[in-house]
Amino acid sequence: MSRVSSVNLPPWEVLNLVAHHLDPKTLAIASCVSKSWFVSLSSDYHWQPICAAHYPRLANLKVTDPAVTYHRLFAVGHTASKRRLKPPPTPCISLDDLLFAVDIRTKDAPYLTVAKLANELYADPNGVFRFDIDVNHERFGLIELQEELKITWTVVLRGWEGVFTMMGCGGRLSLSPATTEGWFSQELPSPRCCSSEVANGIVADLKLGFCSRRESTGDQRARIKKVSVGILSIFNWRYVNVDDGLRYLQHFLLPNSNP
Amino acid sequence: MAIMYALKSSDNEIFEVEQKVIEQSETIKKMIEDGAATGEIPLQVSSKTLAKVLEWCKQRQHKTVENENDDNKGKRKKERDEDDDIKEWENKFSDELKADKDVLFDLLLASNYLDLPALLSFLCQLVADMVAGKMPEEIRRMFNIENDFTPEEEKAITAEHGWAFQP
Repeated sequence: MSRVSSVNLPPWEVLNLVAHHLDPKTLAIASCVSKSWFVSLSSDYHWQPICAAHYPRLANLKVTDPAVTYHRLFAVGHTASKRRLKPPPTPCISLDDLLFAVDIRTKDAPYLTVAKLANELYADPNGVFRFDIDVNHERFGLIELQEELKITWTVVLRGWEGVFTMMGCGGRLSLSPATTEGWFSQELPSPRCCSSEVANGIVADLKLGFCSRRESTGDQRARIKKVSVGILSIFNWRYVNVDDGLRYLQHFLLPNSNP
Repeated sequence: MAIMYALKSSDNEIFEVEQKVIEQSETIKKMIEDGAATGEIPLQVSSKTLAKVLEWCKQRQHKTVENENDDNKGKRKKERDEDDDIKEWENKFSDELKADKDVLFDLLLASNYLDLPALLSFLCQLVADMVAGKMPEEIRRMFNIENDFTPEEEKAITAEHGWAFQP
């Protein structure tokens, strides 16, 4: 069946004139209309200025391979810039799925063990991955401030589907006249998508807060009141945001995230 | 008394036009300056299309003359009213062309040949707006174009331009 194709059909001169008024996307889609549209609208004549305007560095690559079309260069440039701007995927796990367990023991005996769902903790109001765990301090006795402590922070995926040790270290508290604090941190392994050379730079961070003690009495013992845990970037010394923390953890907690 | 010129279309119809109107076309202006326009000026444009060209030029001429006669008082408001009038006129002009695409394409080529940049740009934008946001099949239907790709070719070309089909 043949059609009377002359009716309404834009001649190629019209296409060439109109092409300058088309945005890159429309130009590319219009290239797929027919053979003659493809020849006209995919040509370097139209795509060279577009490519040079949007991706000047890519346009220069034409000299390395004269066979590559400017349309192709634009297409790869477009895809690359879209990927670069693409936000990371939403985490597959949420705070509802996580149980934080903190265990503190002295050389001789266990001192404190708490386990709480992450969404029941006091989250940092700035949306960063840092949580306060209130400790019922009446339940726990006084702790010798000079003593060496062993600290463990474990994250458990709901239903015991997975477990990841954020921190397992030992250390002493630092004493100052007014306050007593304990800061502990340990470098975290890099998620498996990159080698550790590329992607490390975050640490698990744990801080112990104590009830105020009377310095004058010379009492060298105190009670733990609060435990704060978080993930800290050592590039800028800031806590990572909650989603980044979850994305990090899912690498180690979800069975299928590391094929 | 305004100087008049006679334009002859490709199908031998004569159009009497004021010099000021027709001098918007750089091509004709050059012909007049070169003295090539002693009698009728022959143009490679059909009478139907030439009528449209002149319709455009007269509207533009009208607008220029009015602006020259304006003083500054109340000019802003007047300009706004005029802008509305021009918009309305342009919409009507566009709608007629959209309904008769043969004239549209012919007029587009004529504006290029006669060197009427404002008209050329107006028409190109008109066609560009008709095409923008449409899928190849919709463009084919609009312009009555046959899809002459084989299914394999079409698949390959659509894949090559795949980025443009993504949201």
